[in-house]
Amino acid sequence: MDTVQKLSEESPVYWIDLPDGRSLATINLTPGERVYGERLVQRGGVEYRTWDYRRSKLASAFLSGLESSLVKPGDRVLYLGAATGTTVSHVSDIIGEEGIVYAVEFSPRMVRNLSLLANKRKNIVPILGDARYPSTYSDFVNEVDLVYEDVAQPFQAEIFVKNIKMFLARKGKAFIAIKAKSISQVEEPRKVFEEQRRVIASADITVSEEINISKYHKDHMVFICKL
Amino acid sequence: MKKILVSPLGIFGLEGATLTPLLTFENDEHAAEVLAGIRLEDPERVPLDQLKEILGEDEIQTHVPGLSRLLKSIGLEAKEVSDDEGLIAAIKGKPGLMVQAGIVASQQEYYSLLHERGLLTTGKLLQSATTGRDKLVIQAILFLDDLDKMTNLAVVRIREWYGLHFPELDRKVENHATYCRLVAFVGPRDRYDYDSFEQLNLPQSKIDQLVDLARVSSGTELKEEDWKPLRDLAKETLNLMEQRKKVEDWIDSVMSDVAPNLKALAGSLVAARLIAMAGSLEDLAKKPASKIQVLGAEKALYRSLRTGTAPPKHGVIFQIPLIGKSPWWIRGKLARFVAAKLAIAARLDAFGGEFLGDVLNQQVHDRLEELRKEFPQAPEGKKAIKVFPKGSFNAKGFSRKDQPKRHGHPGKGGKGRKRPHGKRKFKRKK
Repeated sequence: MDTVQKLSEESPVYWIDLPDGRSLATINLTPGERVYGERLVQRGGVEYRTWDYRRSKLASAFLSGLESSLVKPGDRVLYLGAATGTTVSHVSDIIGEEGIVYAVEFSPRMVRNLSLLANKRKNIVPILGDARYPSTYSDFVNEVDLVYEDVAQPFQAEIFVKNIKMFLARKGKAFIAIKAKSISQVEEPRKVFEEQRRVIASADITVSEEINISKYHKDHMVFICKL
Repeated sequence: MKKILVSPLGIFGLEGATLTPLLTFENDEHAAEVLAGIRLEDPERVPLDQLKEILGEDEIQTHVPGLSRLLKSIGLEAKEVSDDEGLIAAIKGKPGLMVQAGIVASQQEYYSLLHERGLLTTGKLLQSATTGRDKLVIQAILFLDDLDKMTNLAVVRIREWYGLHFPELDRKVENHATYCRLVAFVGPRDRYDYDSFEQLNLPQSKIDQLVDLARVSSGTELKEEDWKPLRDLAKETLNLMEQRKKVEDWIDSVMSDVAPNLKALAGSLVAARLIAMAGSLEDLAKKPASKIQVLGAEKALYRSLRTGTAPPKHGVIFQIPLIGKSPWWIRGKLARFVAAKLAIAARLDAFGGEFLGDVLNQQVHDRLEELRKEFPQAPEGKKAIKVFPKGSFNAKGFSRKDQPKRHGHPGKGGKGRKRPHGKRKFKRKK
């Protein structure tokens, strides 16, 4: 059996066998550099970075059945809620040098780390900005193939819609991770997800897939959308 | 009417799908300076005069809110538009448009400039985001908590260690600093004579007790050389306590500068803690009074929202003596009032208002008097939640020993577990 296996043909996301089990991994764009304490593994002259699903909703979604072709080499990605860049770094690995990821984050403390990451990776543009107001960063951001949102905000569906309207290409896709507890502490998660879905749909955006990742992240749901 | 497109390469007029340069950036540094200036709406960083000359009197539409507000401030008719089809198409299509207009040779060049200038602009925005002195105060107040943890850990060890030699002392001397001083400057039991106590400033009766106790102690021997590491630890711990005092003083002095109104109302430490919990002074200023009232009582608040128990009356503002020491039946009413005044104070401090601390303080005191008059006694039929049992409030304030064991209270430890002296419950923001 191969020790490295591609999840799907279109996208360089891999299963990699390790002495103590197997893990998701991407090919390291900056060999030798670690981003968040992940493992670097050499296989067939290529360096892979293991991808911890507990720290990434995108990885969890892949494990829960999402096609890995959502992110492809050369893609232009708008990433809202980039934090310190854990998942961003893997997106940066996947899209490669031809792609670009605009990493928007609200907290200055987090953006500091993000900037360090972008110093080394030419396909990341760090943006200190508030995702609620996409026009404030519309000087830097251009058309994108994927809008990715993981912001844990009460109005995250509204934020999602605004950013899609402004930046998403006609044939592009969008990913939103919804945390039920940051929308309502009281309401049942199922109802919260329904409500968020309604907000998205009422803006003429189609929810094409619903992926439950609560196995890996409590009370979280992922929607894949398109225009 | 003119449409304006802002990009990392410059500011452009937009007609249909053609660009006319209004301001092209000379280099990365220039671009970052102007773009950060637009975001921060800082008129000194954006060449507004130059833009005004080129733009004339035309009505202007742009997609960047910062620019439209800046233009408005110099008397131009500018509007922020986010739903204009032409503009949206231009925003999306910047790379292509720039190549078409001959500003860059290829999209590749555009993206490479975008990366460089994005990094630089973000760097500049970060600089202005972290220059506030309130951020220094936040680090300092968090450091106070760290210091408390460190000293507590050390004191527990010292008491245990020295306790092998002099077990009776642990109960006799409750004050951590005094205990450490005894370990550091007196040491082995056979040195417990009157000369050794000279510099310690203890009352005579206490010294008598200690000397007697040392004579009859059941502890093991402690040789001079075995005492040394313990002595050094005790000295270091005393240094830490000294350090705490210094940090506290520093916070106190900086708070007069950063947030004089908040300080006047809440005292510098509670005020600093409120700022830390909100994230910054400005964040605190943007919070409603109702939120300020329960900052630090999140656990109780969310429990209340989830299960319908009574909502918390106060969070960290409980530590304001005025609130913490007033009778329980008016404490909630007072907390609500104080929180409202704190919200005003925070806004004054954050947005450069005058000093009204003494006025606000007076209002709070008046309100307290009013409440005392209106509710002189505990309401009948309602049972006091026994936060502090009868007799807790004597002339010396309340004593820790009087606190009941089984009540979660902000800043006072959780269910039934008594927190070590000085340790506060305080969650760091992520």
